[in-house]
Amino acid sequence: MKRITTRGLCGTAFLLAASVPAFAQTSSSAGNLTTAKTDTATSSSATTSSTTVKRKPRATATPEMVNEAIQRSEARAAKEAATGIPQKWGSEEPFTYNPAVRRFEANQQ
Amino acid sequence: MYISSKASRARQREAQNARDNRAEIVKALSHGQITRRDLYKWGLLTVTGAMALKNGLSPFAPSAYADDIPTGTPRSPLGTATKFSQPMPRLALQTPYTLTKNATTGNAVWPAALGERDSKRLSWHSDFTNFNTQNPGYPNNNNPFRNPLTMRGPFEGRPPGEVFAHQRWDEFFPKVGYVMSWGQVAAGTKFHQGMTAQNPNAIWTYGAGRFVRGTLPPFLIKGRYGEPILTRIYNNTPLNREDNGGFGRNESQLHHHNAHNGAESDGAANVHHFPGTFYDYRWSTTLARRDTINTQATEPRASGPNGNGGLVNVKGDFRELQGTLWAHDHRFFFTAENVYKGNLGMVNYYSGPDRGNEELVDNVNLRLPSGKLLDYGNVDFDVNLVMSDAATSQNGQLFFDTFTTDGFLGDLPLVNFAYAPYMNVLPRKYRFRILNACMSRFFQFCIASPNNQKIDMKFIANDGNFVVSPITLKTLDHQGSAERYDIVVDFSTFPIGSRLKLVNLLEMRDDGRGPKDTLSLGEALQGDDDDPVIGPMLEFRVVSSVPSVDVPGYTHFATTPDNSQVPNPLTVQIPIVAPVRTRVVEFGRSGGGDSRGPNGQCTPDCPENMPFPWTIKVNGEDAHSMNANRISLLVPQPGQIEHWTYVNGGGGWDHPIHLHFEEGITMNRGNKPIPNTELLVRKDVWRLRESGSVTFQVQFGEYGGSYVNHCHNTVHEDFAMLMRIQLLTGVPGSPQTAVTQTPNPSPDGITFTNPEILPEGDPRT
Repeated sequence: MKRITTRGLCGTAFLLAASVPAFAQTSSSAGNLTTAKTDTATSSSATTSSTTVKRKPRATATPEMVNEAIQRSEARAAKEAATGIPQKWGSEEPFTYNPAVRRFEANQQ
Repeated sequence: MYISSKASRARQREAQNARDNRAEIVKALSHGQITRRDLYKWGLLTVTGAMALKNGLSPFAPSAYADDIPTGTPRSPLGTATKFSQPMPRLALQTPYTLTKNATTGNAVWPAALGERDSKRLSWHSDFTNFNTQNPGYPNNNNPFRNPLTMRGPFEGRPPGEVFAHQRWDEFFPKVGYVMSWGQVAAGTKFHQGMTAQNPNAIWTYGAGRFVRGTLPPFLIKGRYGEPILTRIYNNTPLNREDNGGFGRNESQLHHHNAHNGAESDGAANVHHFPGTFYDYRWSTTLARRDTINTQATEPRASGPNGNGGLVNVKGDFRELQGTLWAHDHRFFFTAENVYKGNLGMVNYYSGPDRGNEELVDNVNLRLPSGKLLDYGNVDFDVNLVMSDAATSQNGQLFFDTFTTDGFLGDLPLVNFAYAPYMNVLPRKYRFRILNACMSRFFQFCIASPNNQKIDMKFIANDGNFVVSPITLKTLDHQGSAERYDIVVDFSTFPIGSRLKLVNLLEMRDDGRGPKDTLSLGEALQGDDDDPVIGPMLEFRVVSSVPSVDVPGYTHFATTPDNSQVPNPLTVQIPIVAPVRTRVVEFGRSGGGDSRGPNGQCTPDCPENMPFPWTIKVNGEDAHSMNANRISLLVPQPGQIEHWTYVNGGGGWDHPIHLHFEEGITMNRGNKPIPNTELLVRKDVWRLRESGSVTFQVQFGEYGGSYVNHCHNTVHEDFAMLMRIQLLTGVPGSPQTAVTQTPNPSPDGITFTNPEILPEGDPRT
């Protein structure tokens, strides 16, 4: 999985913190992160196909994500109960998400 | 897991041999004679790090003497102890010192007679570092700021520099202070007079003073809004790591669960300190939202008692007043061992509404049951109950099975660390502040009348936060580790001589995964030979007089009118509003976690080849186990309202999940039922329930820095269901408006590293 590192970020942000408003600091931090991310993406592109584009992780969650997570949880528990094999991430596979089965509604988020 | 006392001698021997073999392995590991790698080679550990199901080793392996029955674990010897044969000890109330401010240095100065160095905004570690810079040749440069025990590293464990300076020091300058030491328990300490005295290294707990022995019961500190506290903790545990009685790590960071403090005083920023050093925690008593709500401090309900019948108004939102808190060790990877071993205490915060005085009338004080002899903080009728379980080896010493990664259940029911005691009560109302201080056990309590009927209880607070209206219940909800329930019980209808019991109804799964069944009161009262912590844990004896705890020498009588009340409402509801963002966090199992870096080391250090079966996912991305140098979730600005959903990974487990620093308003449990004791109630620990979820509203502010979010089944937490959250929510201009570096403690001092940030947890990207 792609990671962002903050090498050099903390010191820069700290120096900024003493002299600029908070909003500006946050913006500066984000700018550094963007740079770091670009570096990471560049280095990884050398070892992967140019047509492979990794999905950008979402920093916010949708009700569908929650609904699917709960369905997967139930499927793992059911599978463990049926097979006796300890649950872990992915142990519910093969798994098909059914959006019509509602464990979590949009208005609950 | 505990075998019946009626089991055959052969089975008792078998179980004891298995436990002895595990203890031998633990000891050999602890002393470095073998490694976990050896255990893998010998086939004693599975690839997941769990103990192999071998007879003579695992308690879950089939017994050689009975078909399809696990070997089990031997019961803890009780000696001559019987239930309800000793009075319940009240927690050890600590006496504060008055601190003064040095006008020149800005330091907090302790009374001269104590001989304590000043407490400072910047850690003494800064002085230690500066001296080394100016005087090369460490460790032989006679640095005056070094640890006097080891002559290495600084004598203060708090990291150096502005990031770990006390945030808002002058604004929350400490007015009172406590000096305590964490170390070997005092000679003669027992869970019951009929049981064996604990060896010094069997229990490590707190004692009042510098480099003193620890004591039981645990400490109680009374705080009040408007009176910031400085708590200086000396690490007085043995220097030699092996001198631990078989388990426990001689390093600690004390987490004040869940007070509103800067990260430097939260006790969970990877800042454990070492024997011979101290750590100054500044417990600010800050009321949340002070920068945005009631900023002129005109709301009288946002206040603390002034000690003379009046109030000191403070800024902030009175709807976020906190009451029942506690403090405990948070040394990453060793929290379960250290808390179980005695590193804990309770802290009550008093406020204008929650005054701890049941008779003072001023239209702010709720006059909840407490007492009247002191201006505030009466505990005569306001009782802290630390509920826990423990186990001892056959020689009577506290025992912990470090092989367990699922959960550890003891077979000794303890209340304030006393074995199943009784408490004399008057026929009147009492408030009880019930803390589940277990490692893995969940409780479910009711109170049984003399004729074995459940009596009414009024539920008034969850995790130290008032519910809007008192809720009348006969049985409390499940109570996971670290959850606090405040209830009011009225004994006035029971005649003198009556005996009632606080009963645990909850049967746990043998493997510690979570609750199994709620028993009927009749079933629970009969007890369970396989789990002696089911059933009555505390007996209430209605008597005609009791001595005062608040004013020793004073006696309260049953004939004295009870003027306490349980008013409705207790507080005002905080509304649920549209969030700035939403997040989903899943807590579950992996084949193996990623706590170790490329060099094979954990951050901080952990036992060699320690397994990490427990992991956390943010927003559906990859699962990770704990690494103090990894930020899994970042909050970019103060005051932004977020809605978070926690989801249980599944498999029949339950996890009590704790969020540091801020409470959330519980919104729902998906489409599943939610009890009134949770719905729209502020909490800091949520049980996920089997294949369950919980959604809550939260916002952060006033302070910032590095905090954590984790399972409070401390066994799961250590192995390593914990993630770092980074709050860029400090005041403008402070270092806590940016990502802070990771401190890495060592006996020679702190070094810093730059953390990685998971993109799914960082909404700035």
